[in-house]
Parts: sequence; structure tokens; C-alpha cells
Amino acid sequence: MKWSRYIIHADLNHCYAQIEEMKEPWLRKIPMAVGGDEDKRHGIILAKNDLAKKYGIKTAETLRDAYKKCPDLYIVHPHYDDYIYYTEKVKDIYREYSDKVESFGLDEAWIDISDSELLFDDPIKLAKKIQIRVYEELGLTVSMGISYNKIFAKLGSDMDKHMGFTVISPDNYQKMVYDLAADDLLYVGQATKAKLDRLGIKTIGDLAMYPLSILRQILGKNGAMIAMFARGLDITDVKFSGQSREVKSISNGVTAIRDLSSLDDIRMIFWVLSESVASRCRDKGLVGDVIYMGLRDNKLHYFSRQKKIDVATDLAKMIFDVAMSLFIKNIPINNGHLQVPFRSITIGISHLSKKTSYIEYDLFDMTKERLKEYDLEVAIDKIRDKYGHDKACRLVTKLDDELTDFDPKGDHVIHPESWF
Amino acid sequence: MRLYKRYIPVIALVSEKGDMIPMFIVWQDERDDKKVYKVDKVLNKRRSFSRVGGCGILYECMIYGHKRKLYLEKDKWFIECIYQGPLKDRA
Repeated sequence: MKWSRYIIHADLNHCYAQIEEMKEPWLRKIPMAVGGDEDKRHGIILAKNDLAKKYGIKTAETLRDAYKKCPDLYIVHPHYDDYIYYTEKVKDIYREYSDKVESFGLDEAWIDISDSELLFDDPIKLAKKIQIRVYEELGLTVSMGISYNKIFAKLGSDMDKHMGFTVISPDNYQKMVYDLAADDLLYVGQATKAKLDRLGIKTIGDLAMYPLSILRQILGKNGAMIAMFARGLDITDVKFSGQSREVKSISNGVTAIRDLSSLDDIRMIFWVLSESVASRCRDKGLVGDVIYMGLRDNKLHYFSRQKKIDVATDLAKMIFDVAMSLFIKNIPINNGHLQVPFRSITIGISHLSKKTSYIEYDLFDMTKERLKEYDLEVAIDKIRDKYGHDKACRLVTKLDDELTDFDPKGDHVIHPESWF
Repeated sequence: MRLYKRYIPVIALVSEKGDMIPMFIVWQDERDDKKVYKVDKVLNKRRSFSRVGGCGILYECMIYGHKRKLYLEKDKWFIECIYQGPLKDRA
């Protein structure tokens, strides 16, 4: 039977680690991970190979913890240029077969080959052909899920990670996916999982059978949506190549080189992050009016707060002020010292819209000051673009040079993407 | 047969269509002597990964009567070559 659509989800298995292995095949024989610089303590595992995985090494854990599990672990520092170059080469192959190739991060993509059948082969054979070409030409393995909607395709590519090839058809989907845990489904996170647990929903099958009206009542719009996903009724299109995802939020985060234990530390880090977020907003011509901060303390507990502001902004000063007020309001401070030291911090802005004109009025008409601040920040951007990030900075960040010696805008060329 | 990867200088011709065709390779031996070998024939050209690491455009060539795999990786050339053992062990 012909399916309504043929969609591939292709996932470059443990992407960074695999690219390093492709470049240096001997890395396949030892436990290896790609990670940051330990001295700077942005030291986390970004990707690991299969041997490292056997030692229980997890993505996003610190290098220190990883070494505890495997003292011989070999760490490769990331080569982002290569990751961008090679993943783009992989997608070039996809793009030979369809004009609908939608990236999901660097290493994943959906490919809609429904209309490629006339030009090429039977869709399932074509998918296999693409997978083999990627291996032969680039030495990289991709796992593929092939299905009639994006959600099941993604589910399929997750089912077998070793150059897997999983077909989920309208005929076999109940057998294939109904026994899987509900949180295997894209967009079922921890919070949703907890709610589903309370309803006794463990598997995707449970979710599909559950009365829609109750789900909608308890989980709202999202409840109805994930129930549709579970029933294989996702109808979202694979976007055309080059049609980029709409940006929903802009954020930057850092794991500091040491624990942050005073308000001054926080202030410094907040400034560096706010400047990066604001500068990226300006580059994209966006303004946002919800500002959020996320904190992880040295016990790795996570805490976040957000606030809506009256006038959408792209100013670091504004972002900083709001984030700082959120911090002071929510975190107990004793004489400038924090009761719990923090380890990593994220600052972001969301609810973005295109910037129209700069003149917007608020109650106390701060327009003039804001324009002045805007000119200042644009001037700093220009100096940094031309001469380097460290050539202009706020004096406050000089209190501890080492702590603020990072450039979130320049260093993090790769930003994780979310589904929405 | 143990193979290893070696980046080498290559003299190449760029065709009117923009294709790159290797003409000569420059080989520097352990004694630092440089020799230029002519690429007699390109037998086959395709995208491929290499067993010794890396990937790019593979040119399977006849060089000096031997079949060798020459790769254009981004903007550098490397060749898969056979490890001969240390100099002193060789005749």
C-alpha cells in the first residue's frame, strides 16, 4: 500500500565523536569523548564513542566525573568548524534527493521523499541508498527512521542507533511503537511524563488509547497534541531546504571556571551573557519581552525564573537589569554572599518579534536614555567585530578577568534547537 | 600491509570546468630528499572516505607503475601510503 507521505528522519550517530573517529580511525579503539577544556571548567562531555559509553559516561556530565568512571578516557577538544563542514556535506547528499530537507540541529534532519519516487526509486530503497552513500562517501553512519509522519520517523531513528534502519508504516505502527515508553515521543519531557504517570499512562499505546477530552483537560493544548502524535496523526510538513526555523528564543549559558559565590560574581557573568544575547538579537533584528535566567548550583539543582517586560528590547542593559532583579528577588543573599554557590548560568530572551522602529513609548518615556544605550552597545559590537571580543568591555567585568574571559557569542556557534 | 595517511604537496591542473586533476605529487623521504612523481593516469574519481582517516574526493591513480589512493580533503591532498618500517631495517 502506498503511504500518504514518505518521511525519513536521519540522525548522525553521536555526531561530534563520530566525526573525530572518521578523521582519526584509531580513536575507535579507545574510550574517547569530545569535551571542553578542563582548566576552564566549561569542561563537559559533548559526545562520546561507544567504548566510552560502556563506562557509563554520559553527555553533559563534567570531565571530572567522566574521569572518575574511566581514568583512561581520551578527550578530544571540539573542532566546531569540522562538525559544521561535515554535517553540511551529509545534508548536501540529502538535498540531492529532495527539496524538503529540514535540519534539526547539526546532526539530525527530516527528508520528505514523497515526491522523489518518480525521479528516483521506491522510497524505502531510496532511503537505504542515501544511508549507504553517506557511509561510503563520508565514512559516517546515520540511523534512519522512515515513516509517514515526522514524529514516527524520529522515533524510528532513535530505535536503532547503529546505522539502524527502522520502517514504521501505517500498517505496523501499533506493533512498532505502542510498547515504547511515552517519553520516547518527541516533546514529552520530564514534566509531561510526570503528569502522564499520574494518569497511569506509561506507553505510547496508553497515550494513544486515552480519551482525548481528559488529556486536553489535564494537559491543555499540548495534551491533545501529543495524543495525536501517539496516534500517528502528526501532519506537520517537512520544511523546504533553506527555510529556516523561526527563532523562538535567544539564550547563552556558561559553566564558570569556579563556583560563583558572591553577588559580584553573578553580576559579572550576567553582564557577559546579557551582552551576547542582546548582540545576537540585534544581529537578527529581533526584540523580545520575556527575559529569563536559569541557574544551576554546585549540587547541580536547576532553577529558573522569567519575567515579562513592558517594552520589547534588544539591549544588554535592559536584559541585565531584569535578570538581576529576578536573581535578587529569588535568591537569598547575605551581605553580598550567596548561601548556595552557583556553577552555571543561562540568560535568555523570548517572545521575540521583528524590530520595527526604535521609538516606543512607555509610562516614563525612557526613550532618550534607551537610544543612548543602544548607540553605546552597537559601538561595542562594532569594536568587537573588528578587533576582537576582548577589546571592549564593561569595567565591572574586569573585577575578575579570568572569570569573564569567555565570548559566548563567538564561542558557541552551535545552538541547540527546540521543536517549536 | 599497514597503511598510513600522509599529507603531500600536489601539482594539479584545474580544468575549464573547475575540476581538479592531480598531475604530479611531491614526495619527501626520510633523508629529506624531494622527488616529483608524475601521476600517469587517474583511474577513477569519486567521493569516498579513507581507511586511514578523513574523507574527500578520491582519485585512484597510477603513479610510477603503482596504484595509489590520493584524496583531496577540503583544500589539502593526502595519500594512503604503505608503511615500510624504520629506515635502518630496509635494504
